[in-house]
Amino acid sequence: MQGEKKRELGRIEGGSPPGDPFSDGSDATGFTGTVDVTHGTFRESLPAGNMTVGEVRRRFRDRLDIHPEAVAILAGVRVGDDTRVRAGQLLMFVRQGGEKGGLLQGAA
Amino acid sequence: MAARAGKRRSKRTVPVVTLEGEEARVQLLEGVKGSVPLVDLVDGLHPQTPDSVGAVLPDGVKCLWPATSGGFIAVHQTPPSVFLLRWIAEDSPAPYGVEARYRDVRVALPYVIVLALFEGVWGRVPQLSSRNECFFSNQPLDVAGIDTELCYPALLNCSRFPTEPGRPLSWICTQNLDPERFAGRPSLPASLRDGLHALLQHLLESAFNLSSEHHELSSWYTESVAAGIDPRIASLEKWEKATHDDPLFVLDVPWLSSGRSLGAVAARMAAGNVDAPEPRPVRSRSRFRTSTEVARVILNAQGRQES
Repeated sequence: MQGEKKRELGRIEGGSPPGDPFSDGSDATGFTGTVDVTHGTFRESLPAGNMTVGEVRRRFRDRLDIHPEAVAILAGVRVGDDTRVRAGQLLMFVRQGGEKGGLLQGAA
Repeated sequence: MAARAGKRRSKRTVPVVTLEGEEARVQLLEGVKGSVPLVDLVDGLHPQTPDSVGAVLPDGVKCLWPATSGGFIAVHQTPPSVFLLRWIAEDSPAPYGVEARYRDVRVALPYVIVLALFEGVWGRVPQLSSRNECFFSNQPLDVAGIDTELCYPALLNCSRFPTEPGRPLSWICTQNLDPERFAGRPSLPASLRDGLHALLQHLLESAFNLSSEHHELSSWYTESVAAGIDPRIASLEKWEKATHDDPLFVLDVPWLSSGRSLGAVAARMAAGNVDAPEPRPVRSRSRFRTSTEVARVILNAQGRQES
């Protein structure tokens, strides 16, 4: 149960699995792990570990319909396109803007 | 003459099915008779098999629930995640509107369950309505299915109304959601994808403010804090700190229970926000109870063929 919670924690928080801290993140086959990438209703686990946010944005722009003005949120923190994404992290592309609620009193 | 005789013979070789009132009767050539309630016949003709009517469902859609109006409810689940939300600032000069000021807050949320009502207008593709609701759950819908207990979401702009029939339980304020973003799509898949995308973006990516506290009874964030359900969400600052310490804490918070399962909430929405006696998807039973209703279908179909 504790192990499951830790795995879930890694997935939510974006922590990478324990391993060699000097590794470049790839295994013997060059696979660098999956990253959960979301935009709107799109949510996919993609082999994007060790890519930069900008590379993910360009590579999956059409596939996830990523809006050009969408900002990148990595593990709940706004990041730039140069940030490198680690395996197990959650990368959200969002378009923060507008507000909820009525603009006028009584608008419901 | 031979043709007439043949016609008479063919009449005698086929069973006769009669629909009258709420009953369906059959009479075989051998004199065998039988009858069942019409709803049982209709259910037998239209068994409850899953059918997305050709639509490829967007990620996160867990089920579609038929609404009696001819539309449907799309049930969407967002897994537990850490979000960067825009939240009304403590020192905002206005509670909502153009004067309001916001700040970023980094908070974990549990499973976010959205029930999006797509209304069917006769002859048109169903499109997103303004009657959509949001809930929290501490477990994924896959575990208990439609029996999953839904909790009220501790979010601003998810509105609490007076408890009475016809009122939503946890309405997502979509006053500022531009219908142009999803209206008039040519196909069901496009309407579902664009409507749901717009709704989820509006829910989680537009700013949260105190509009519900002014226009409706309250928001479920204010209600949750007032009820003192958990010290870790007693304020946004505490929620942010708890998120930093352990983002999974949200799966242990005793969110305010709606007292209803997913099935009961969906059935309630499908019936126009009236608690339904049976929290199960209602298909043919609600539409074809009498021979008059079946006759209407036959005559409408005949009309389409003749026109």
